Amino acid sequence: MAESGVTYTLNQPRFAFRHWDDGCVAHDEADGSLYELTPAAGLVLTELQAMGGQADGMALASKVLQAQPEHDDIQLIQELMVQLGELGIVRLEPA
Amino acid sequence: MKRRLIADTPLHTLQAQLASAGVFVAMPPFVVHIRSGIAVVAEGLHRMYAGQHWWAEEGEFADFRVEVRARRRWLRPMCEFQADGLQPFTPLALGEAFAMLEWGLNWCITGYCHHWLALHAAVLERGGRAVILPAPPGSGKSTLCASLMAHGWRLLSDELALIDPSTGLLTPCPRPISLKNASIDILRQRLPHVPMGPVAHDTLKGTVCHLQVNADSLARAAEPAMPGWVIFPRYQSGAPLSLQPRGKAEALLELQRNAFNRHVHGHRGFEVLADLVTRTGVYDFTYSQIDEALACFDALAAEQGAA
Repeated sequence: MAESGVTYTLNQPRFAFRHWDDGCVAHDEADGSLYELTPAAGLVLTELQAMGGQADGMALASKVLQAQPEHDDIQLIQELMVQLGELGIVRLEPA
Repeated sequence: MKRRLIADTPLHTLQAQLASAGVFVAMPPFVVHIRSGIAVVAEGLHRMYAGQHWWAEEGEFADFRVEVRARRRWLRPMCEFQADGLQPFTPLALGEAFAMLEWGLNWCITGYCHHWLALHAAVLERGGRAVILPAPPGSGKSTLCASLMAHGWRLLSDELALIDPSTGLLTPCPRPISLKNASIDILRQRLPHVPMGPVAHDTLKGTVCHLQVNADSLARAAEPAMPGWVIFPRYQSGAPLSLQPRGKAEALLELQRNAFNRHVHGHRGFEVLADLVTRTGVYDFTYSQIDEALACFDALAAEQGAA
């Protein structure tokens, strides 16, 4: 799979986040900005943090779904991670 | 050091001392040194801070040294506010001098007291739990706040929620409640025995006046309070009473818009606000009838007590 060569790493300690059922807010220590994120993004970030702040797409999707992910699931995680990467909240690095 | 209750001091004595060396006034949790030769400042202090102590002798630390002084103008007498030698505001009409003192004190607290995370919000407490009421001007916050105080809720502040980042507790700062426009007459009729301060007309905020803090709130000014609720109030004429849970993420964003100094606290400030919305009941509140609003708040407090 295309994403299998990418590792996602939480950009900590620069970013902190809090996740509730209704949404998620991330805080950028660099300039004090707050980002309102979807509940799904909050869930994925929470699972990534629980995995030590670093995981690849397959492992992260398995953790989020609590099941063997299908290709589409991994694709969605990948797209989400790209968006979070553009905000600087996660870093996308070659495995 | 001889401390005297302002209520026990003749107005002319206070006025003379204010105009000369100035007075130290205990405004928990602060001590403020005030100088002013303007009569309306003396009248406002005498009426609005009647339950507080003052003294004249130097020797004690003052958190802020402020002065409201007259500036002679050819047609229109003006006043200006100074804090520790700085003049943060443009001059206002002389009749606004007491209001300017109050606004200036708010500026001092939000500008210098960064050991708290400060929000623009009213705070009241009942049964050991505090309600935080963040709201923009015109939302009916102060009318609701004054009514709750008169109804048995302890006032911590009408304007500033001071959150201790290390404990999450709210520090009381009970100062006169700032009323504007229609709320002045509403509360004058509703609370005829509660003293009001000088009325300033034609300010940028319209007509402005202050309402005295009650004795219980002053007597308990050293007692911090645990947050129990964050309620975003909105007065809407004719609207039915409504208390609806609000999303935590959205509430956090709204709180940060009302924070004066979150940037100073960095991640810690973010975590404090996130903890606040996580641990409290967060609601949007719409009201048109004060008595209904009071009953609703009483019910919340009763639920908390029963829990």
